[in-house]
Amino acid sequence: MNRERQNMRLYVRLGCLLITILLLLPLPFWVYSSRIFVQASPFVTICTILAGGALWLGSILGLLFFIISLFRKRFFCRHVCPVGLILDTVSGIRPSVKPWWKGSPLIGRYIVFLTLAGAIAGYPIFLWMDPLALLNSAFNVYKASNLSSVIISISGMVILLLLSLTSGNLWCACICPLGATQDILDDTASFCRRFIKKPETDAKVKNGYKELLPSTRRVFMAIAAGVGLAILTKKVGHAESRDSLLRPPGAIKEDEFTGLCLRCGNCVRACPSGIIHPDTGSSGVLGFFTPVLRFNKEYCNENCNACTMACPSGALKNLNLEQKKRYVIGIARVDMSLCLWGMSDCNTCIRACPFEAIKITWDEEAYESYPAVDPLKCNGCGACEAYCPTGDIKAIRVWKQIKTN
Amino acid sequence: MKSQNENGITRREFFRNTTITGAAIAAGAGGMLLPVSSSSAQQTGITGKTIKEAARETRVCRTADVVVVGGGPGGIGAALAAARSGADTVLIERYEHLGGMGTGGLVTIIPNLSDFSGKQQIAGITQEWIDRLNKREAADYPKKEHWGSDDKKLVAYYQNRSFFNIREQRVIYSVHIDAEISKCILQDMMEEAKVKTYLHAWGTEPIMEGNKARGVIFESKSGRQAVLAKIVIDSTGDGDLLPYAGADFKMDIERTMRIANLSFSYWIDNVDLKKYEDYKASHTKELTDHMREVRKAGGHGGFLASNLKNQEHVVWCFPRYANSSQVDVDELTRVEFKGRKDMLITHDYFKKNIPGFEKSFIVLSNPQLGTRGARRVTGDYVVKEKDMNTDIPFPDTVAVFPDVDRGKNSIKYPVTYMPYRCMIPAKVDNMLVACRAFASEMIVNEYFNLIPHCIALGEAAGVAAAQAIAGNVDLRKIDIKALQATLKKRGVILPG
Repeated sequence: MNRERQNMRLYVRLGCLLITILLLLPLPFWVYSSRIFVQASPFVTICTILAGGALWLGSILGLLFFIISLFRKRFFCRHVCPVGLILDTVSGIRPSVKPWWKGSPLIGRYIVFLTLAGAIAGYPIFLWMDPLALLNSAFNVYKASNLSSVIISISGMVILLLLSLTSGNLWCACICPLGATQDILDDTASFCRRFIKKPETDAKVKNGYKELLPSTRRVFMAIAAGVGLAILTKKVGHAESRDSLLRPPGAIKEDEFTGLCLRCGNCVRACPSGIIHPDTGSSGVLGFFTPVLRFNKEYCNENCNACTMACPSGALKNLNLEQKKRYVIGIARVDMSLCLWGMSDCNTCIRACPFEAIKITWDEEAYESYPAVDPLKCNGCGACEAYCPTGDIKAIRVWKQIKTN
Repeated sequence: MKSQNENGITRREFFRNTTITGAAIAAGAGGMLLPVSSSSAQQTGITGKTIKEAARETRVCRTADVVVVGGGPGGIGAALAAARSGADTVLIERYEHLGGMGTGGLVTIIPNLSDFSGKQQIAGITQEWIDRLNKREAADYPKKEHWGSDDKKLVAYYQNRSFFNIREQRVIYSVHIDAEISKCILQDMMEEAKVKTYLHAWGTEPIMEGNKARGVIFESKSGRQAVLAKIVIDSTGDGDLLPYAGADFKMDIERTMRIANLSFSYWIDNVDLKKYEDYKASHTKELTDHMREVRKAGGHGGFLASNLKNQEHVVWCFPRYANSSQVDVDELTRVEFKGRKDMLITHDYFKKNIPGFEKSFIVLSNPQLGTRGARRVTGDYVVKEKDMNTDIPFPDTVAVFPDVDRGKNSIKYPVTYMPYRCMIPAKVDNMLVACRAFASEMIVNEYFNLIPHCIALGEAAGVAAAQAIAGNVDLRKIDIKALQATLKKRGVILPG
């Protein structure tokens, strides 16, 4: 390859990095910018489509790269991937590092097979390993309110950077599922091309599947494991009964949510109220870093659907404003042993409720009045909880609606 | 020709008395008592149900231009305004202090003085009271430059001090006041304005001449006495004079309303609030459980810390009590008793379980039970719900109330206007109702019967009364423009 072309490619990659930064910075010109960025990954696009998630403008970009990868080996890595450029630069700091991992199995491919198989079963297990999602998450730093949010948002990229420093291009070559997706596509395509050209004579093609698939057995096992794990996690891996766990509006069923969620942080970033936080354990091991709602200061504004429009994977369904108003995040419940209604003239929650769902009710037996929530009107927006003046533990809180029957 | 019946009364008397008894029963069903005797008691005077009081001469202890009954927020406004306008004014107060709910009721809060934009809407005598408290550092309120702010840090700061400071996530002008200093200030103000004040004097019934009010009878240690006056202002809060004046009124209050509740307030002193705050921060969950426990035991689970100067060891409790009527002596007694029992339960529990309360003691329970609503006069104009949902002032607007308690509607309609006519009882002359019993629908009363509202109405009533007397015209025919001009001159904020 001549030098001119190499330079050209460098410029293209730098250009892509620049575009990435422009897309991910909080610039107001397009609200969907970070969504389209993550969907540009063919790995994300294909898995989310298989899992029944989002199909959107960004998916076209992802599919485009998918198709190009069939004809140009690792096209995305070589010309587009901003993460790759960053990691290349970092690993360039220590060119002396020996690739100790040479010869070890290409984990990335198994990750892809596992995740693809899982996607078909409804739970794409390692979808969150997509490098674009990890980079996107790192851009949440400017929205982070505390140290743990900072750590959570940058942790993915920090690990990648450390890997690059210590082990050269281990991630790109060996682990990255986005890279591995392209490898698989390229291998498949070249196998097909040869098969079409000289189907009879090419000895390689006859045993071609061996070249195409490093180990049929392993691939088969990866696929089986993917399906198995997907079914298993969906069945047992979730604490559906945890009724303090609140997801952003548009969230799909909890047992699929943790799989389809990329942890890209788009919803966290999109939320103007700052109530979406990456979870650190309340939704279980599988829910690590997935978005949860906290209404301690602000609530889910009735005139906002930003998070649902920002989700690249379909873990949050796109809802228009009307749909979003009707989406039930949870139901508010009053703890009368903490409520100030009986202590003074506080009626903050009643005034705060955008849906007029809280009314004072008279209880003849107890001989007192108390605020009661109309479950038909309440959608769990949390305005009451956010504004409740009782301190750190609110007298009115939104709880997930546990469906009976 | 007179024919005697068995009881020895004339048929005419019998019929008249029967009619009155019927009326009394009908009125009694409406929740009030009329000062009439039953027919069967005509002779003996005493029956099982009623007694007939002997007619008697009552000493007139004073003749004045204006007599104001009730020295609470409404009465203070009315008496001061009337006296300052040149009327010879008498103020009758049943407790030993002035200020009503604001002092004796321990509702030491004058809230909702500004609208959401931070513009002050209620000033006049209310502001004067606050200014005088300020001189003694006996008031606490958000700084003027913060009124109307929606800055999150400011909102959180003031919310933490008292939730009366915050409405719709904005800082509003609400004042927490010192009760004792207020009592001193208010009596000074009366003296300076030369209002003849009777404390320990319970104004019981108006002296009526047909439908014209001519004065008031009051009971005290000096016995039953009368004050004659050209104009009577009912500032009793509950409209105590209305049944005897022949005025129509309403008493319906929905159970679910704020104003349906009595308040039994008390203060706990010598609380180590620093220790309590530390505990609250480090043992939030545990404290929450304690609050649940104390309520389960029948106590009260929350309080406001006094933010007044040098009162950093005092907390205020305002538990509310549902009741069947706030003008029923049985109910008032029941709630007083229950309130005190619950107060003890609460303090015992706090003292034993909550860090910071170890050496605390109950310093005071409310000298006056906290009342929120009873009678509402049927006036020449009854302020209705639709009047809250409009931007158009009445031609006879005499007070502007910041509308901050109604959520979204408040944001839409930031102030509510009060017409002069809402203080004039229909069918009755020479009388004004300047207190929370003003002519209003239940829902209007729910939002606009607080201390500053009553002072503002009182101030307008006082000026109007003096103006009517000076011009020798009926209260209904005074020059509204002149009334509004005088009010403005006195510092009252009015539209236009």
